[in-house]
Amino acid sequence: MPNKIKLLFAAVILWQPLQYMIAAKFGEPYPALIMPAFAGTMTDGDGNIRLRNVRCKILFQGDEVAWLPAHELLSPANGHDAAIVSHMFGPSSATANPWPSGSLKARLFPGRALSRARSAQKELDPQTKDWLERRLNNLYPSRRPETITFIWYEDVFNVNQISPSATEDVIGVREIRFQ
Amino acid sequence: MIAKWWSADHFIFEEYKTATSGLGIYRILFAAYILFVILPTQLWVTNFPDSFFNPPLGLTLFFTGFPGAAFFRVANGLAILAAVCLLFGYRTRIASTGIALLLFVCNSWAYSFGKIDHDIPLIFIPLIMQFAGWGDSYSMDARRHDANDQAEKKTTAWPIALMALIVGLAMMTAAVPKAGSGWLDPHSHAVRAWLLYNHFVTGRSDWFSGHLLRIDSWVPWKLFDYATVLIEASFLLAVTRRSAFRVVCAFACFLHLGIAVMMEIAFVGNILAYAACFEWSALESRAGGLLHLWNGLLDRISAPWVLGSGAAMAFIYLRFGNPLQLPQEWDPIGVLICVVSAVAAAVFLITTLRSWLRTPAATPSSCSIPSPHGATHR
Repeated sequence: MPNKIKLLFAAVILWQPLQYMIAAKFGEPYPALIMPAFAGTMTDGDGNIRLRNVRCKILFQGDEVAWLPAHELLSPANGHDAAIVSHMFGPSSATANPWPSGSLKARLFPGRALSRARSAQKELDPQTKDWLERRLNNLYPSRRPETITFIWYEDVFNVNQISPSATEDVIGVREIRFQ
Repeated sequence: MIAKWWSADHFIFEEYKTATSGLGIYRILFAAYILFVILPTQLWVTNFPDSFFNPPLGLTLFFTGFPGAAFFRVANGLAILAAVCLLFGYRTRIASTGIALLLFVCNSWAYSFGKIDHDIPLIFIPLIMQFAGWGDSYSMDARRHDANDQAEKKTTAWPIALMALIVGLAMMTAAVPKAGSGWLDPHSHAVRAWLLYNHFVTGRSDWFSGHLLRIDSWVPWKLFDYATVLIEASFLLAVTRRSAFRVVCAFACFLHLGIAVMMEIAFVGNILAYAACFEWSALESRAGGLLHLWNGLLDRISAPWVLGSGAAMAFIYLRFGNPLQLPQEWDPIGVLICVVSAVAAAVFLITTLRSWLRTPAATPSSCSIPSPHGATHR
């Protein structure tokens, strides 16, 4: 028994470099003995802190407009809103790299294959569009949405100024039109 | 033969020895947190269609979408039943394993939207602590086996040592990326940047973050950066000495309190993992009346009563919800736990420092830091 326990300790230690390699190659696995990294400082050489942010502009019938923070739109996601908005409604799919549909990887890991294929599509999945429309109807029951536009921008705070001031640079736009 | 203090054998089998009775208290508090705060969990997943499915490397990678609401109701019902069993120490090993597996399965689906919450301690604590004997006191199992002689019982030390090692390794995975990505650069402001991110991007803005962001001085921000990396890295460096590990845990409680009030993120799982190393038996004399009542309750209840209570709680939670569960963006119970742990950590550090100053000379082989309740732990 003591030797088995020592082996368990050794396995936990040896697992760490393997886990590191897996996380680096395929993204963070679950479960994993990993704590949040909060890596990076988002600060450039001039003391600018750059934050990527998104705002949702909703155009209703009758040309009414409403602005909504992404975390309110995705509040049913219980704190997972940032990951969802980035993956589902990100500004560009130019870097998406879908797996070939018949490949071994795609057959072994169909969930990941579908997810990659979706992020490469220019047109939003009909299920997602339906969900968005239902969500907007819940949020604005008396109005009928025509489009929702995700406006991605970079907030730039200069920390060298006495009161850090912010500027906004738009870095991408994704518009979704409802029928 | 007693292993030398610096040997691997000593670390694994001796260093983290503690009284069984104390771990019974720890089990009750852990089960109560899971039962009254965490459960039911991840029911929100079914709000989304399969097109949102974006699984990490793990259990859900082999699926193409989310399971239905019935799956989460059954999983949560079983988890509530297991949590009630764990609370009263009925079939503790089965309940511990059950809780860990059910939380893991529910979380696996919830983390298939592209974000993983780092609450893995809530899963490895019951998996490991069942082997430490946390079901051997203040439990129905102990009553059943007529083996509740708390004074003489000793726990198996290796599970707590394993917990400490896992915490040390996990915290190092937080320290290394920070150290390698500019947190130690004197010209960067990492904590400030992440606080800005939380305040302006995630919507987790509160009175504390608003006031902290007004600090223009370079010094406190840089101190926050250095202290964070230092504390996170220290866990692994201190792991072979329980006394040193507990001191690091105490400092980390302040770090978690800071994160909870500044960023509204309460890492309760971590605090519960540190708490495994706390000398819980020190509470027995102070909370003797409550524990006596608890033992009295255990004498009166039966297995069908525990299972019936679990089933009734599962029905109430799944039908009407858990009244203590508040929206995700507001976690007052998590913040309260961070505050209590920071107060306990402050008391522990002050007492430890006082005892250490009173000890004129320590032998090189002991390097002891006396614990607050008088006993000396190495």
